Amino acid sequence: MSGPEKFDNDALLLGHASGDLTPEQQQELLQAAAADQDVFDDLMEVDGLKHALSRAEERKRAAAVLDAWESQSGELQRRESQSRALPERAPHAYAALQRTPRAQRPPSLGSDVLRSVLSTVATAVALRLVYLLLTAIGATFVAPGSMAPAAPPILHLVHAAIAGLLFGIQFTGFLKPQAINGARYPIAQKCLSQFLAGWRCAWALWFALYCWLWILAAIGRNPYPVADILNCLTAFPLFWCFLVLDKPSVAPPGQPERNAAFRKAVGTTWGIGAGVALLAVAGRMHVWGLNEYCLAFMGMYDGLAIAFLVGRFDSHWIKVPRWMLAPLYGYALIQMIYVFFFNLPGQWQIYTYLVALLLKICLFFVVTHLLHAGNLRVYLEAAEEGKLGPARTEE
Amino acid sequence: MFAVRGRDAGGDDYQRNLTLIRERILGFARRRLVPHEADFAAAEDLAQACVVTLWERYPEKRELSEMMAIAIGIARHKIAQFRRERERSPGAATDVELLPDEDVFEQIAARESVDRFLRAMLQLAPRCRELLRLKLIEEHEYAEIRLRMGITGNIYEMAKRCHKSLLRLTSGAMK
Repeated sequence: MSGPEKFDNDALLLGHASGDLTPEQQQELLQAAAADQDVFDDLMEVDGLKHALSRAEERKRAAAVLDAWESQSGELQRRESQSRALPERAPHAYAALQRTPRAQRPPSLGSDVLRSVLSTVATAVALRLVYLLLTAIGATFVAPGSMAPAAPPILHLVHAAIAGLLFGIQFTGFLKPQAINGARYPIAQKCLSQFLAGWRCAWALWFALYCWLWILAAIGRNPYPVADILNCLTAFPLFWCFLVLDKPSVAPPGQPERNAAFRKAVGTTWGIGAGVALLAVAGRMHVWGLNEYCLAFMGMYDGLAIAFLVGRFDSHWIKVPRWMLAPLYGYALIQMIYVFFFNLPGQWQIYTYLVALLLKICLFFVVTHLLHAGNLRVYLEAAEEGKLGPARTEE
Repeated sequence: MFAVRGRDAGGDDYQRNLTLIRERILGFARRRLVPHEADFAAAEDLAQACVVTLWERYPEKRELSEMMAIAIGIARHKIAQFRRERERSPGAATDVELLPDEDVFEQIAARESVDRFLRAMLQLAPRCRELLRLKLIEEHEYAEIRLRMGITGNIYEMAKRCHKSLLRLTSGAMK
C-alpha cells in the first residue's frame, strides 16, 4: 500500500479493500482480525465487497448507480470543477452539446418565421404597456428636456477606427483562434465556426454603427433612428454566440431535430430584438404616442446580450479569471445608460462614450484570448464529449 | 472449543487457531447474519462447517494468518451456501428443483454486498463518495486522486475516515 508507514486497523481494512496491502500488512490485518471480533466482522464485509467488485458486472453496476445518483443530486458545480481534471470520466452534459432533445416536430422555416413574428408583436405590445407604466412614473420626476450637444464627430471616428481595426485583426494570422480537429470533434468544430461567425458579425456591425454616427455627425444630420437599429443589431450576434455555447446548435446528419431548441431560441431572440428596435424607432420618431424613453428597452436588450455571453464565460471550463469578468459585466450594465445618453451633459456623453469604448476593447481581448489560448476549444470539445455537467447522455 | 475426532488434529497451537477462527466466524454469523436467537444454532452449524472444511482441505496450513485468510474465503462461500439452504427450508415454498445452482447464489451474495455498499455510499458526504468511488471502483492511485479532486490535506487520513464511515453504515445495513 502506497500510503503511510504505520498502519492501524482502519488503514489496513482500507488497504485490503483497495488491494494495496503488502503481504506483511495483509498478515498484520489477519492477525488483528483473529484478535478482535469487530475487525474480523469488518474484514468479512470488506472482503465480501472486494470479491463482489471483482465481478465486472457488479463493478459496472455500482459505477452506474453512483453516476445516476450524482447526476440527480444537483451537484453541478462540484462535478464541473472536478471534471476539469477527469477527462476520461463517464460522460456528463452541461452545455448540452450532447443533450438529447425531447421529441420535437421537424423544424420548418415557416414555423421559425412565424415564431419570430409572434415574438416581435408580443414584445412590441408588452413593451408598449411597460412604457406606459414607465412614463407614468418617470413623468413625476423629470420631463424629457431638450437635446444636449452630441459627442463630437472625431470621437465617433476614433470609435469606428478601433472597431474596424479589431474587426480586421480577426482575419489576420495575429491572435488566431485555435483550430478544432474536425475528424475527432466534428460538432465542436462547427460550433466554433458558428461562434466565430457571430463574433465577427458583431464587430462588423459595431464598425458600421460608428461609421454611420461619424458620417452623419460630420455632415450635421441626425443619425437616429438608423443608429438605433444598428445598435440593436449588434446585440443579436452576441445572443447568437451565447446560444452556440449554451445549446446544441449543430444538427449532424441523421439528427435534424438536434438543434431545434437552438433554432427556436435564435428565432425568439431575433424577434424580441426586432420588437425592441421597432419601439426604439417609434420612440425616436414620436409616433404611437411614444418618445425616447423607449430606448430603455434597447439598453436592456443590448445589456442582456452581453450579460448572457459573459455569464457563459463564467464556466470553469472556459476559465476566465473572475476579475476579468467584472469589466465585461460592467459593459453590460452601461448599456442601460443608452436611454439617458442623449440627455447627458456634453462632457458626460464623452466620458460615457470613452468608457464604453474601453470596455468594448476589454471584451475583444477576453474573447480573443479564449479563442487564441484554446479555452473555447477545450470547452467545446468537452461539451461534445459530454463532460460539462450532470445530465446523463445516453449510453 | 473446537474438537476433531478420528484424525490427528495437530498440535495445541493448531487447535487453538481452529478454535479462534470458529469463534470469530460464529461471532460474525450471530452479529450480522442471523437476526434472531432462535437461529443461533444455524450460526453454530455455519461456523463448524467452515472450520471442518479448513481442517479437511487445508491441513498443511498451520499459521494463524494463513488459516484466517482461507477461513474468510470459506466463510464467504459457506454463507452463500447457507442462504441457499435457507431457501430450501420447509418454511420456504420454493420448489427445490427450481432453485438456481450454487454459482447463482454466489452472484446473489455479491449483488447483496454491492447493494449494501451502494446504500452506504449514498449516505456519505459527496467528497467521501467520490474518493471511495475513485479508489475502490475505478482503482486510481492516491496521488492521482489527490490531483483530480484537488485534495490538499492528508488523503490517506481522509480515505481512512471515509472508509470507516462506510463500514459503519454497511454493518448497520447488514444488521
